[in-house]
Amino acid sequence: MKMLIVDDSTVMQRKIQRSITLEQITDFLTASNGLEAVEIFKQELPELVTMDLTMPEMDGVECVKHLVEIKPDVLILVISSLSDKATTIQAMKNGAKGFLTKPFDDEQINNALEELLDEAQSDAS
Amino acid sequence: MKDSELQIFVDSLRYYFATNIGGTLDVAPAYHTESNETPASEYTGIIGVSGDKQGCIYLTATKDMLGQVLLAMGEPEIDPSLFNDVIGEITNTVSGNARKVLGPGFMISVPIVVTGRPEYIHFPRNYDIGVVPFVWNGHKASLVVCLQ
Repeated sequence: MKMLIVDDSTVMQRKIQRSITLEQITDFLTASNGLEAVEIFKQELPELVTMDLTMPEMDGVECVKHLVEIKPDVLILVISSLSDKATTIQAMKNGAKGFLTKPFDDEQINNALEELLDEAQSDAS
Repeated sequence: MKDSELQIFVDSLRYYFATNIGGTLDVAPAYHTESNETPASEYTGIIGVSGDKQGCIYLTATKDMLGQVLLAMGEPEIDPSLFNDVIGEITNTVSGNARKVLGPGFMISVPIVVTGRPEYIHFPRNYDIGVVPFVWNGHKASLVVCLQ
């Protein structure tokens, strides 16, 4: 399974990748802003995306909307420091399936992704 | 700025280090100042604030500290090209977490990073400045909150 990590911080991109231990996720792609993410997404069509919100060029809330238009069943986990309810609701309205607040530890990100994958599997069956 | 508002950022800073970095964090008592002689170190990550409040939040630290922070976050080696990135990310996260209490009207920009120690930082008049000095694993740094 391919996962696209969208974050304007290289340190965070690497931290997310290092933290993930789920065996289903085998390939990682990275993008530094929403515009770059849309381009990579169109070419690679990953099943899973982690999405930062505060980014230059195109922010995460807008990017979620574009990715869902391209592939409605994409699983998007928003990972952001913006921990207020309004931001979470807007991201979910646009099609994100989960929300994890920065900072997070390894267990939290793996649990969040596992939950997303489990929900998708039960919806499909 | 009330002490309780400044405390939001202190709590956010503590949580960031506890969750993402580890090590020993000693936060000194925060203080308010009207002077422009706020601390500035070798790398400074700045977040602009707009919406319900205007101003900025900055985190300033030495390159030695940032190198150790990178290692603590799991980087295999100290890469100076990541110093700007890591201080911007920490400042962004500490600022963004404050929205949980301050609400969505507390809008933050993407981070700007300044390298090199400025002689002084000039703030507009009538802005409250709160300084949170801290020491992480023996490295001195400061978080500065400047809000109208």
